[in-house]
Amino acid sequence: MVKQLGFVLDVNRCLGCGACAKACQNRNQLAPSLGWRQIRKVETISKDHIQRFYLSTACNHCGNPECLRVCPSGAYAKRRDGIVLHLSEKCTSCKSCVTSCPFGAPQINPQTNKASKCQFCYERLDRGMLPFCVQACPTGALELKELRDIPAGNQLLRLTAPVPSLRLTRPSVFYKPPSATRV
Amino acid sequence: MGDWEWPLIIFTVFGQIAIGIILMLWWLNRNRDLESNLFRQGVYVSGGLLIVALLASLFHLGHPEAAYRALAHLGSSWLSREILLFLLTFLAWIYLFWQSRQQKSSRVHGSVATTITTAQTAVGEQLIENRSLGLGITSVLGLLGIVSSAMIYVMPRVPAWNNVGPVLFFLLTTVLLGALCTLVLGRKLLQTAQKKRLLQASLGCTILSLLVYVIYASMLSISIEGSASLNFLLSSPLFWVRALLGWFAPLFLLVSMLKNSQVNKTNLILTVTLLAALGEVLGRALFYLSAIGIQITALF
Repeated sequence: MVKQLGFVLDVNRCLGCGACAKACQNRNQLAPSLGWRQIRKVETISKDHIQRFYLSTACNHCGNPECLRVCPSGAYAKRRDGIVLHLSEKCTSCKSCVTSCPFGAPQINPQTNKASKCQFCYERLDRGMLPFCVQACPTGALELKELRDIPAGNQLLRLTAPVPSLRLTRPSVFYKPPSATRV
Repeated sequence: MGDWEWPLIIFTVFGQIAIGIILMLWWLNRNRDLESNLFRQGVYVSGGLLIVALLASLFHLGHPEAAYRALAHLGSSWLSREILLFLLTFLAWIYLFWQSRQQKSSRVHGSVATTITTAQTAVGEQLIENRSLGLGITSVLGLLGIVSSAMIYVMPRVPAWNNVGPVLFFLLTTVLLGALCTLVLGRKLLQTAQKKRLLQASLGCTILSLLVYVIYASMLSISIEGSASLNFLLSSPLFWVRALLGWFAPLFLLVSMLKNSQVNKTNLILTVTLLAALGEVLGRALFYLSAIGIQITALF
């Protein structure tokens, strides 16, 4: 793999407007029940501060994707730029990827009855354009980055769990940490 | 929360019974003295179950017509390995079926012929050797297939499955139901000592299954999702029906049969087999129903 593309979301700039999710759904002509990109509201209230922010999440295009490991029909591939592709023509709809992805990224498309997920708008990227979600973000909170260009010690966080085996999938989506508001 | 995965329940339980029967026949044949009729019946029944299991597995796929593609990722996918091993097991079973047809025509064992020539004896011994080899190969391939089946579920996303539990449950079901179904098939053909051994194996598996489940349940409470699975199990009436049918009733019956020398009572053999099979089917349904995946919402 030559590089690893990924999304970086500045949660302090994200308004939770859902423009990214809507752009993804409309421009990719997804069924209403299907959402490759979703908005989650996170709220933490502790004794001395409140944290309230939105996370725009999609496939993490992991460095070590679980979907690619478990798929029996080889319907997943990782490109040289790090994008994890789902190859619909090879999918048998066994749902292994749906069950195993720790982030719930692959979903069954009711129209094709096959798994589907964010493809990073790779056809647009190949033409030098931005993914629909990044293009639609009104505040520029969601960015496309070459992750190896991000300097070390930048305090970016990953959406993952405190379980070592889950961290091993090495998600390629990073978040600029939310700032706390003192009560 | 998981779903009622009927195709997978039928595939795993029926496949495990089929391989369990072959395994028990192999074990009974260790002194090369397996009754030919029992061998033939066992091969036919296990083949029927294996075919039903393989057909049922297709219904799990959204696109069964493309099932052949599921063999494309043997390098890392346990599902690919499982399919390959089950297909190889079926091929080995075809060899057993052919052996059973050959024995039927040559009447190797329990022969009604009064005069047996040296040549016939040599042919008979060769057939018995082939039979033993076929049973051994089918059993080993089948057991590897079952371990592969279980390994599909060992994944970090589902804490209830991410342990040795699935492998142990699947293997215990294989031996338990394999022994009991072989006992049902051989209720008139097996010797009392052989029946006793099969009942002891069933009792051992039932006790081990109960112990493994207690340890498994206590391990579930470590994670939030595992605790949710445990709460679901303990609050589900199905679980208690499973415990009654699959553990406590067979345990009581098996101990009683062995203690009171009732190993030849056909009614008891049929009852304990039916109860254990129902318990295992419900247990497998609960295995899928209680799967709760980790929902990641935190930044680290």
